[in-house]
Amino acid sequence: MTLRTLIVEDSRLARAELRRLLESHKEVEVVGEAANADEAEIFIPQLQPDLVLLDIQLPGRNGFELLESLDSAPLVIFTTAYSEYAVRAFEENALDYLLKPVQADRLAKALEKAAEILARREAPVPAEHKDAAASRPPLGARDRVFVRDGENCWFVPLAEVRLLEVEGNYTRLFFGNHHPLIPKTLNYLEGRLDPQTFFRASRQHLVNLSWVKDVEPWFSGSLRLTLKSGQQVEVSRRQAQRFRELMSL
Amino acid sequence: MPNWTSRQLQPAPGKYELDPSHWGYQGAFWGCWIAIGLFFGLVYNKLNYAETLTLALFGLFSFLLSELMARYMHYRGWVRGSRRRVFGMLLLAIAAAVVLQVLVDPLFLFVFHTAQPKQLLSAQAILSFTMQFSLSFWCWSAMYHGIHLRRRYEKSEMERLQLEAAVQAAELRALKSQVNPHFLFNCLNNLRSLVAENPTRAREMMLRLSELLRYALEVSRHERVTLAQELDVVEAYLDLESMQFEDRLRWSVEVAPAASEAPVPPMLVQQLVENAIKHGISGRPRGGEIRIRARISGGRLEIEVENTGQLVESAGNGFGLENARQRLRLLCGELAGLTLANRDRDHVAAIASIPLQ
Repeated sequence: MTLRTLIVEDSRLARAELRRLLESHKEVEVVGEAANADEAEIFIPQLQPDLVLLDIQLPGRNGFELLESLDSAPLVIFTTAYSEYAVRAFEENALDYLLKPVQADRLAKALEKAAEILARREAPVPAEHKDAAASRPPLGARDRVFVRDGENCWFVPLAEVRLLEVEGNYTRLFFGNHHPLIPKTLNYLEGRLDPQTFFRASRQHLVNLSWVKDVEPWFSGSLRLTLKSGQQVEVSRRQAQRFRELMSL
Repeated sequence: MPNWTSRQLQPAPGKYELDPSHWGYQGAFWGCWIAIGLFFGLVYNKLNYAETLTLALFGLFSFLLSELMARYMHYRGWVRGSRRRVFGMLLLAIAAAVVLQVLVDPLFLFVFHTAQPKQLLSAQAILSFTMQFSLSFWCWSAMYHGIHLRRRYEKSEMERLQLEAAVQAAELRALKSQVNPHFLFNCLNNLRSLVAENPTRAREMMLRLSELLRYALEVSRHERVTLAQELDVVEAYLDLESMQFEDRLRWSVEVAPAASEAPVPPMLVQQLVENAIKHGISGRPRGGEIRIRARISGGRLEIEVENTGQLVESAGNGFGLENARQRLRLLCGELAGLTLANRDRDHVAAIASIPLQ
């Protein structure tokens, strides 16, 4: 199994150093290098790397902002020269990071872990998707989104996201005990998410159907859904019709 | 005059707090006092009703009087180490011994009828009682002062240690703020890469780094360096940053010959340049330019650090600038100034102006 890897790092010398360190890892294939977030934002959907070695401090937008702008987050190992607050966020959520200058054994461990995670994720993305990246397949339960809330950040599998709620131009994600905002509109997300999994219950809500526990009739033709978390969501009258169709299939 | 200042530092008289273990050592002292009395009573075989009562009454009243004395001493601030306290304590103990007799003698004469007036009211008896009880009150005051002296010592020792720790933390912060860890680790990482790519240049850069570190670590003890010395280190710093930014960082230095020997606080220009890199280069994917200029004008040294970019209001640049400004005023007097403003649509300039002595 090869790890198709993209290096995102603003210093040329630092990129060269990473390449040099990766030479001894035969399973790693460096598919590209990006010097800033704008370049990376183009390369990631194009190259569909398995792994991104991502510097947090980048000119313009930083590494976190880059990840937030992506529809689905690739597997990431962060690199940083010195991190006052970011490292704390990583340690809490067990995201992997490397301190520069990078130690060879730390890198080896991080790569091993990345390979394990990739092997565990069922069914690799079909090859035709990689070629036809422009067609942008919808995001399914296996995909992950990068979410940041103050000092904390997560890579959340969409399967764990039970509800998405409008919050102005942002969207509030509900997963576990957390409900952070992501900088995307609900309409945009509706277009990107797999309609078989995420159902637009109303103008306010997008519901993960696999989290629905109970359905009951509500006022004037609408429905009320109860999620496994206990949260309750109303399905508007117009959408209730579609919901019934979807469920009767 | 010194007395006046030490008075100023002490809390106002009248406000006091008893020691937390006040009752513990009061109990211990007067307990011992009675125990010793009982011991001698037994040894001399005099422990009859009258003697026991005498012992108990004197013990009780002495204890109560010592409580009053303790409060009076706290009230006057004697336990905090006034010079008058020794003489005051001697008098206070004698007064307490007299008061004790005035309180207790009538009880023996008129309540318990265990003594005759001639036994207690002769000049000799009064004098001997006064001496005897003054002695026990002196012992008591010695103990009381001893304990407070020790407390004060412990407290001042604690304060000294806390102060020492605070000073060390401040020095460490100063050191950290002089060498930005971000810069340092990026620098080491780039150096590591450069060793493989261009060993000769890597060796050169290691010298530049040690130059900068030595300056940051050592020179801060002096108050002033010449501008030329400072600019040598600024150039070392810019060379090192060029490893990181390569052609994204373009820089130039222009110094009027008269200005190069002018005194400046160390790390002043370096901090301005670091700030310029942070805002003018590192945040911009295409990089930018830094121009350092210095000249003498109207009896003042003017140092200007200009960088590509625009000053954005409320961008949180206030703290570093305010820090640098305070430091400049501290070292060069109130007339020294530091301004940061947009020069034109895509240049920002920081100008430090220092009066020449």
